[in-house]
Amino acid sequence: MEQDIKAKIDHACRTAEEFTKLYYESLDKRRYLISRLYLDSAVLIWNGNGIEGKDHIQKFWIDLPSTNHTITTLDAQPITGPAVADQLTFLVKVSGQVKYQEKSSKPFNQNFLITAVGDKWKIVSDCFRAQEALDNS
Amino acid sequence: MPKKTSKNSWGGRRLDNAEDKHFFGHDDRSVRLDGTRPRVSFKNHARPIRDRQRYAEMAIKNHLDDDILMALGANNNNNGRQVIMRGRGRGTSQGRNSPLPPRGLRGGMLQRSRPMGLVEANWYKVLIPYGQKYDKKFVLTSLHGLMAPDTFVPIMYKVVGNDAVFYIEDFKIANKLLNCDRRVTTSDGFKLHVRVKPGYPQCDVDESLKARLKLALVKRYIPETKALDLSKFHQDSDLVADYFCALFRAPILMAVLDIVSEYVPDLEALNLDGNKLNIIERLNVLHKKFSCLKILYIGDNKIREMNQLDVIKDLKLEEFRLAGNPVCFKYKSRHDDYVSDVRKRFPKLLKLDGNELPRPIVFDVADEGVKLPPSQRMFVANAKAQEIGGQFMQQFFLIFDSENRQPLLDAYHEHACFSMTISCANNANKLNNYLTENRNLRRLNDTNKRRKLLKQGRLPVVSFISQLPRTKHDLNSFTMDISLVTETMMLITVTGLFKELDSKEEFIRYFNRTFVIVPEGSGYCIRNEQLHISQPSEMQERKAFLEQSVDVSGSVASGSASSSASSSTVPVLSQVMKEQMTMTLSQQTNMNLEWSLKCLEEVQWNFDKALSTFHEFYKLGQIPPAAFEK
Repeated sequence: MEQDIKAKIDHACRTAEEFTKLYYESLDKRRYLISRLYLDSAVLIWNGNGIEGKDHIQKFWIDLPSTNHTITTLDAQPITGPAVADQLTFLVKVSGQVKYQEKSSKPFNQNFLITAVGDKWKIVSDCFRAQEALDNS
Repeated sequence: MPKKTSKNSWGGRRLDNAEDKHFFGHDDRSVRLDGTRPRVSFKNHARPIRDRQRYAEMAIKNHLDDDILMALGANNNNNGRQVIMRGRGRGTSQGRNSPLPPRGLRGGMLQRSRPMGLVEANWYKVLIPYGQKYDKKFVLTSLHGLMAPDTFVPIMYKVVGNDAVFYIEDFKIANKLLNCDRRVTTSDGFKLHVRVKPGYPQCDVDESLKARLKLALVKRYIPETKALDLSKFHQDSDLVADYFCALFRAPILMAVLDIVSEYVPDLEALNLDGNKLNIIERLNVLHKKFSCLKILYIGDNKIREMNQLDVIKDLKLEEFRLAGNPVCFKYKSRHDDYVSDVRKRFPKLLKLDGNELPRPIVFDVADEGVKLPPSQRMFVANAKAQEIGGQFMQQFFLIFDSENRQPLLDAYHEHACFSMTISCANNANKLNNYLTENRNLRRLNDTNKRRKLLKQGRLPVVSFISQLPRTKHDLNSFTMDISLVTETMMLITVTGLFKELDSKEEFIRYFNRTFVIVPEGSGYCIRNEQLHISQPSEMQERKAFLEQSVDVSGSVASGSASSSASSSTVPVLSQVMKEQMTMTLSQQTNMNLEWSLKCLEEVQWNFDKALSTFHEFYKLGQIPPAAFEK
C-alpha cells in the first residue's frame, strides 16, 4: 500500500509534466486538435464560464483569440479512494502567464482532473482562472 | 471657486490691507538703482550633464547661490561675477531646452537698455524684492498692463520674507517680465524691481493636495463624453495659487492618473495638451488604467522622438493629437511619413491632429482586438452542489481565518493530500516564507523531495496548515467553480485574496485553491487539496478589502446570475461542521458549548449572525452568567 501510493505520486508527477507540455502546445499552436485531449463528457470552466462536452469545448477554444502560455509552476497529486475506485486519476495544477494575441500577458491558474481511458490520458475537468480584479456587481 | 479658502495656508505675511510698515533694509534698494544687476551665471561643469532633471535642480541650486551673492554685494556687479558658459559638445546646436543662454548673448552683450542674461527654460521664478509691501493684485495688474497683449498665469504667488515670489512658464514671457524691471512706479514712489530666473518649486503630493486635485479634476471632467481635459494643468485656477501641479513631474502625474482611474476607469478621452511633457514613459500606465481610452491629445508638449510613443502603443486610439511637439518639426516636409509612423503605433487611428485619416486598407483577418468572454464569479453544475460547496467553503475559511485551525482536522479525510505552489514574480522576497514548501514540479526534479512536499494524512496536513501565517480572507474577492459533481466526489476551485495578519505590513496575497471533497458520514471532507499563492495585481490589491462588512453566506453566491437557488432553505450541514462552528463560536465569545450551540441553532447556523447577535445581547447585558460557565 505504502509503495503503491509512492508509485502513484511519481506517476502523477511524470504524467503532469508530459500532459501540460502537450496541452499548452496544442492550445497555443494546434488548437484544432485540442478536443482530442478531452473526455467526451468533459467540462471546461473558463473564468467562470462553463462549457460542457468535448465538441463545445473545441468550439470554445477555436473562438478564443490566439494564446501564448508560459508555465511558472506545476503541481500534481494522485486521487485515491473509493471516489475513483481503480480508475487512475490525477489532479494537476498549473500557474503561469498567458498572452492573448501577443498583447500584454496576465497571470493565470489552471487545474485539471485527468484520468486514464485505455491507453490515453483524458481531461475530465479543466478549470481556468485568470488572475484579475472582478467587479463587485 | 474654493480657491479663496486656502489663501492664507502658506502662512505668508501677506499684506492685503496694504498697511505699510517700515523695514530696515528698505533704503538699500536705492543703492541698486545704478543700472547694473548681476547676471545669471552657470558654474563650470566638469562634464556634460544629460539628465535634464538634474539640470533643473542644479539650476535651482545655482539660483540659491545667486541669491546669497546678491545679498552680499550685488551692487558691485563687475566684481568677481562673470558669465561662464560651456557648450554641450554638440557643436552649435543647443537644444531648445538647453539651460545655457542663447549664443547671441555670449559675452554679455548688452545692447538693450537692460541686461539680458535669461537662459531658455520651461519654468521661471519671478522675484519682486520688497513685494510684500504691495498688494498682489496691484503687482500683477501693473505687470500685465506693461506686457499687454501678452499675458501670464502666476503660479504660487506668495510672500517670502520681504519679497513676493511666483513662478511662470515660457521663455518669451520671462523676458517680457524681465523688461518690466523698474517700469512700475508704486504708490510710495519706488520703482518695482522684477527679477527672473529659471526654476520651479518642489511640490510634494500629500493628502491635502490630493483633495484639492480631486476638486480640480471634477471640474475638468465631462461625464457625457467621458472626457477629461488636463490641458495646461499647471495653470488650473483652483490650484495655481497654492501648488505647482505640473504634470511633467512624475509624482503629480501619477497622483492625478491614480485619482482619475479610481473614479473614471472607463475614461474615453484625455487631453494632455500643453503640459511641457518631455519624458512620457510614465504614460505606460494609461492602457492598464484606462482600457476604454480612444482619444488622446498630447499636443504642444516637448516630445522629441517618435519612438517615445511606443510606451503608449497599446492604447486603442482612434483620435490622437501630437501637433506642437518638437518631433513634428522633424517631419515638417514629410507629412506622409509622419502619418504612417504614428499609425504604426496606433493602427486603428482615424483622426490625427484634427485631420481625418483615410481608412487603412487591411487584410481581412480577424483582428477585432482581443475579445474574450466576460469573466463570471461562479460556475456550478447545479444548485445543490452550490449549496454544499458554498457552505463547506464558508465553514472552511471561517475556521482557517480563526486563531486556531485545529478544528479543520474534521474537515480533512484520514488520507488527505495537500500540496502548495508559489509564483514568485519580481518581488519574490515577500513570499519567501512559503518558498521552502513550494512543490513546483518545474523546479523540483528529485522524486524524494517531490514526495516529501506532498503532505499526506489528516494530521500532517492540518499541522502544516496550522503553521501557515494567520489570515483574513476577503470574501468579496472570491470566485468559486465547481467543475465536477458526482455521487462520490466534488471538485471545487476557489480563488480570491487574503491578507497575512502575522506580518506588520499585512501583505495581501492572491490564492487559487482546488479541493476534492468526498462524502463522509452525513457531511463532506477534503480528500485532495492544492493551494497556489501569488502576488495580487496592482488592481486587485487596490480593490481588496474595500467592503468592510461582509455577509459571509451571500458573498460567494453574489454576483452570479445563476445563483437564484433558494437561499431560504437551510442547507444540510454535516454534524462535523456544526461541531466546528459551535467550537469556534465558543472560542470567540467565551460562551460554553451548550450556549454556543443554542445561539447557532436560533440563527439557523448562520455563523456571522450568531456572532453579531451575541455581541448585541452582550452589550445589553442580556446574556446570563450561566452561558459562560464551563
